[in-house]
Amino acid sequence: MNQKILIVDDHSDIRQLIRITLGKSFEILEAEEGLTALAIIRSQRPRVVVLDVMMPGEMDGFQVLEAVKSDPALKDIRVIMVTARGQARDYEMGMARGADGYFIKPFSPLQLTGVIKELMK
Amino acid sequence: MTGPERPLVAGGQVQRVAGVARDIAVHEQLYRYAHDLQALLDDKNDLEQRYETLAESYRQLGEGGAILENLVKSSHDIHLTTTPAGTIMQSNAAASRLAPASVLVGQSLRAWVLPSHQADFDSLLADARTSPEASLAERELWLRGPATGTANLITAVRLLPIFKDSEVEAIHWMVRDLTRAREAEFDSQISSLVFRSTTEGIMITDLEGDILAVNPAFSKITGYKPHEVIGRSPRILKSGVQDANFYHGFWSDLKEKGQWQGEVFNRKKSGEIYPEWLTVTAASDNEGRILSYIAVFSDMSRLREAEKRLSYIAYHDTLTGLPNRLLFQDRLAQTLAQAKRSGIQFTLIFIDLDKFKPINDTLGHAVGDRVLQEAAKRLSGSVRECDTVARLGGDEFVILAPGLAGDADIGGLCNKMLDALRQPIRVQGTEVFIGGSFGCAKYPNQGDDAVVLLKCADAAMYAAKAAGGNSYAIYDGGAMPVSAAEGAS
Repeated sequence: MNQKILIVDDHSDIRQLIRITLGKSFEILEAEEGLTALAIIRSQRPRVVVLDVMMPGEMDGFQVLEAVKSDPALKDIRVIMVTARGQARDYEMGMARGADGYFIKPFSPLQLTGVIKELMK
Repeated sequence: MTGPERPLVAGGQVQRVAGVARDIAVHEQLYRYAHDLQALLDDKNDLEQRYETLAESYRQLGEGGAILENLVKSSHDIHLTTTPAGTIMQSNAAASRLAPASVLVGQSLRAWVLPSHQADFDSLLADARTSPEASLAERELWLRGPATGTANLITAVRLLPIFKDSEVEAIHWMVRDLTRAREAEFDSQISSLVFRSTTEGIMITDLEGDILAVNPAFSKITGYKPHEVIGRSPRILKSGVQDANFYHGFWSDLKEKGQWQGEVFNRKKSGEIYPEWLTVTAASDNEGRILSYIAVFSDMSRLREAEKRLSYIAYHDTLTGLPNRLLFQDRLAQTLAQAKRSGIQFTLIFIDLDKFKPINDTLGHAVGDRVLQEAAKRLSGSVRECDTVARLGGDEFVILAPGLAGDADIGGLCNKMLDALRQPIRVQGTEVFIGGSFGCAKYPNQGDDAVVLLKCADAAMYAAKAAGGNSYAIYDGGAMPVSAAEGAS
């Protein structure tokens, strides 16, 4: 079974931390901005995408989420949104666009692991 | 925190601010990681602790298992494992009460169950296979002993089904031998029955002598109800007849021999003093420690009455109730001895009824007996209180009259008696007539020896009879009586 997880964050330290958290159990893919992320999603078909909302470049997290959720070919891909603390509007927007999970930085790596394991079932 | 939002819309300066914000985000995320890490470490320590505890208790459980195994091995109860069908697979040492393990293993346990309990055995086995909860209840089974002629075993059985993959793989039988207990129960029932139903009074006391229990016969004999005596000292029964010496001997016997037997006088609740035959036994346990004293006694009053009755029969004539020859001889000897000491005189009057033999022969013994009874009554009614009237046998009577000496007085008494005898006797619708021939001998005139006196009286009686009867004669020395007198008429 496919155990790929894509981590999308412009901050390499954050990506590194998430890799430490999940790397033992899953195959980790990384992207630092939206377009690359979408390309990897289409080519690698990860089961879960951990997606930062605020990213530089042409696509932010919401746009990537929208692209994934609107493409029937990608309907099995689960998306967890990660954003800066206290952005209530982000949460609403994320959930409205069909996000499967939502974390606010700094997130608990244990909780993230728990949610991903749940989504992987 | 609004900082991170502004730099996104601004230029060069923004980059620096944004960089600081990014560092802060990383720091915060690192702290969050450290926080989770600490939580995990705490969890780990906690888990390690629990593991240690678990491991320790598991080790103890292992040791406990060995103890349990030894318990089964050395248990006085029989432990067996059988197949679900009842074939014996294992047995402990106690099972040798049924047979040695070499014989038991491979056999069906059913073979040891008495026919009367084989249906119970079958239902037990069925329960163990189908409803294990029910089989845990104790059920009674009667098993046969190891050989013919050996006693059967009354047992209480519990079954423990052993499961493997939710199927009954084997059955553990716990068999408790109740035989001894049942016997003891039976013994105690018998003892209690004896205690309650015996006619002998039973009193059980503790070592201090206080009464622990009494039986119904105790109450019947003494008049005391159990609640009146239990917890009290048997001293309430004391009559005062026995002295301190007696009790000293009583206790020393009881302590040395464990038993005392003898006759004592006790006092009933009514105050009546009665003789009893008493056996006191010290009841000891297996180690010889005295636990209590058991006093068993029978009321001898009745026995005494019977003894009196027996002695009355031995000394009296059953037909007339008068003293018999034995008692007369005794009285005569007493009177003689007394007379020799005190010098008083007395007279012996020998009586033979006249005309009695024809009545007896013609009218029968029943009439004869009736006549003898009437004659006895009339003679007794004619003498003084201090005189003894005895029947020597047949129609022979004798009177012992202490203090009677003068011929006139003797004559008076004889005439009174002759007169009484002469009156018609009504018997069975007819009247019969008798009379008497009286011979008198005086002490000391005719001798101081019983035999001589009797011979003299006898001789005088024959003289009276020879003179025609219905008269008396007083022996007056010499070989033959010298005077005879016609009865007054």
